[in-house]
Amino acid sequence: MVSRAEIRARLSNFPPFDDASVGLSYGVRMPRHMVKQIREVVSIARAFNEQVARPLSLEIDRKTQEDPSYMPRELVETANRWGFYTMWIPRMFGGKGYNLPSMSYFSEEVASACLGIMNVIGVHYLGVAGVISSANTRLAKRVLSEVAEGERSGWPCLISLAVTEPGAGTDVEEVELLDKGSVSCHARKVKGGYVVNGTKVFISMGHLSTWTVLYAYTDLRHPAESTVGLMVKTGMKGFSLGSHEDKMGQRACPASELVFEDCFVPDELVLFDEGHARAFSKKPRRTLAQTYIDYVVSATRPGVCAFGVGAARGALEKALDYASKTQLNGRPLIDHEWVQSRLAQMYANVALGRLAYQEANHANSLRGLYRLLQFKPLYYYFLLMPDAYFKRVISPTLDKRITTNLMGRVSFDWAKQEDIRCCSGWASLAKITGTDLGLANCRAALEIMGAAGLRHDLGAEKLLRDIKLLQIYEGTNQLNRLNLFKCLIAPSFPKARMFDE
Amino acid sequence: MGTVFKKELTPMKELARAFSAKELAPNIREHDRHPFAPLFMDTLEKAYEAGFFGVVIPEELGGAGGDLETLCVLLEEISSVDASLGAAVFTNACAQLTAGACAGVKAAGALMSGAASVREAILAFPCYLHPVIEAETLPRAELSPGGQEVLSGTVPLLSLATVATRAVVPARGAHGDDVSFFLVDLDRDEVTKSGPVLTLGFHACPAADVTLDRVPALRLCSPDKGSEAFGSVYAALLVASAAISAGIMRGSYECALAYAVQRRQGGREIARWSEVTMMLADMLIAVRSSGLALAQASRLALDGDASSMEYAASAALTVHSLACGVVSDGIQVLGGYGYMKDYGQEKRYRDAHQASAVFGSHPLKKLSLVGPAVKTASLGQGGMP
Repeated sequence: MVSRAEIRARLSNFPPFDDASVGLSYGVRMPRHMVKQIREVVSIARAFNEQVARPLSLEIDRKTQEDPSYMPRELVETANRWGFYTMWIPRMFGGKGYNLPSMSYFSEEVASACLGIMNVIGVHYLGVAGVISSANTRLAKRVLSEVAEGERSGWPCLISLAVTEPGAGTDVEEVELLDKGSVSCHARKVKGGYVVNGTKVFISMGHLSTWTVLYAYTDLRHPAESTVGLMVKTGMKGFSLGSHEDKMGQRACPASELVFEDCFVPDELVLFDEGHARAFSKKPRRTLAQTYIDYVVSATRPGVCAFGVGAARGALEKALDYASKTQLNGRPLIDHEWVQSRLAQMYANVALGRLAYQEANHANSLRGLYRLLQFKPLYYYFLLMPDAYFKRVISPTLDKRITTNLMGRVSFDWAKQEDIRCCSGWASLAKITGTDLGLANCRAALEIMGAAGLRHDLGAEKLLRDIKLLQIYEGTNQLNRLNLFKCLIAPSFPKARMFDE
Repeated sequence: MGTVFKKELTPMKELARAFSAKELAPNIREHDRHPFAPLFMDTLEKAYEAGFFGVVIPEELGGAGGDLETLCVLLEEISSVDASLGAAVFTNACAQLTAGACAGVKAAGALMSGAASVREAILAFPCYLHPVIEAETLPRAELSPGGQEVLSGTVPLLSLATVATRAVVPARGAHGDDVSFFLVDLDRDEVTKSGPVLTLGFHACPAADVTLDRVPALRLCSPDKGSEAFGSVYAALLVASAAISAGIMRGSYECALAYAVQRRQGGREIARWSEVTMMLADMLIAVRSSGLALAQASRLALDGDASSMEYAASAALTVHSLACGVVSDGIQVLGGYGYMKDYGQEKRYRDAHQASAVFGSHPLKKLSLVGPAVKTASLGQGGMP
């Protein structure tokens, strides 16, 4: 028999077993109810596709080509009516509290009908992740309860995340690059808050959001040491919306320019800064900044993978439909072996992409941002407690500094770096896998469909335009490959240096 | 430097380059807005005056008297700036070369003579279908009671149908099922045209779905010669379409390179990030090897020899595949900016995929390429014909 010490030693060799097979450990710990909830979510998404996404997908895309200034306000109102903007907000913050991995399945479903429409829903949760990852429970409660109120009133309240700058895209995704980069969004500390100057670009849904999570820097020469997170509300003095981009695809979802000119952000809207961090951690600022970035991208990149899987599925469905209805040499196209082989590969790509986001979600659930909410006893506790309990018992505690400090310690001080790395690495793996396979499927659909694939009215060409953005946002796939190396490979090869050619 | 064509073609290359810089480059985005903005008729008119629509027509018939290589030089050069005009020139050349293969060069040249405008001079052609492989989808030709041949059926995505007054259209013959080619007057009452169909790329080379309802048509070849006639020019047309792709990918590479040496991330030009350098290297290799292949292919494609045509068509299909990869990397190097309309990379991505669908789906073109070889090899082994 092999001793436990031997097993432990051998499994820690490259690739460390606990990193490489993270889902195996989470499988037995997963609350069974999650599966039931995921099935419910998929069913809701399919109903939405039938009633809203499919009928609107090409119509909105064409409308935005005809009039690039078009804003999909009605679509946002429709998604709000369906309850999608609170579905994955934890119940303690006034949301419906669906389990977070279920959002990936939802994303796959809706993206299979329209990536642009899915982004109109999904990018709000990029903002939500930005809020929750900060551990600032007081501000999270304030902002997220407005989202819930927006659902009740019929006036959507969306959150966007503003990180990218005109001169800094990849730089702002990685702390190692941040200090060498050229960020320019400056936050000057003044009495009672910060004064912000700068511009953010490519901010999805910026024009249609009520709140924006804004990253700015108090010292532009050392941004990694001076990152601050601020909540800014549309309409605040000094905050204006610039142009929105004329993109190739995902046209239902505007990408906005946000301009800050002496915009005063009061202390009560500071999500995190030096003082906030010091209250719960003595770790270096850059470590905390990287942890924060890792939490956000570990949650959002598997979502982008799911978007890619959705597009891959959409392409498969278009190709299947075409091949079933088209004749070649007197036989249905679908009867030809070369077509069957391509369709089979497309199906395999969808399945492989899905496995990738499932594994990344398992990592988050076992060792990352979701670990408290998906921990079985807590999961059922939050699931079964009545709404009144959250309102009367939990909600008041969220305003207390001690709660923020406790959440900060759990998230930043007590979290193990190897866990954070594992989640971030898997998120990057999922992102590049889902989006690359998605592009492969969209190209394959066009190849099978020939001339029909070029037509806007048949939808395949839109998929090819839409999917390409997924290889770029949430960190280019090139950066994500480097992050995968950093998180899942480099720890076993400590002499390897990163970002230092 | 683009494709290594023969030096005698330098004047054509320079003419195309100067035209592209003056007439295309300043208005690419506006031209690309069609069908939601007017078509660039002024530019088409100037291209016609420059002789771009008569490159393959003999000089004595009013053309430029160029060969396939001349056409490829022109297509590559203008497509490196705006492939929509390349597609328009290509569509017309498809019609002219096919008509020439059917009825002789003089007859093809006559189709252009006497035209008062570009609309009257150019010909529409269904260049997204393979008239032989997809013969079962073609319109039917039959004899009218008056003894004239009439066509009935639908021609999807007939390129330039909203611009040209005439089209060269394939149809299954009344005298059997072989493919024949016909000249159709698109202004006749029996012809119904959709508006310009919104497609992935080539927005300024509009295609329309055209329905023919017993429309009188002029036969261009004898009933059993259509497939053979098209087969004699197919490799050449495929090579010409690949010249568009070669131009697109060159434009994409040059744009990516220019961006990569001025954009800084992590404190240095992104061109100095070895992963980005590697992408640029892959793009460069694809551009240069395509250039070599295309130059050789354009000399072989009209040899009339089956083996030469096989080489040429193979090279063309390879160039199309490479282009689809290059344009994707071309966006990637520019990141978010590449996805926006500002730099033209997204248009190149769309146009390259559109170009690869010329004459139908890529796999079908591959199958049709290897088909004769399989048949010959099978016969050599005593197999069934």
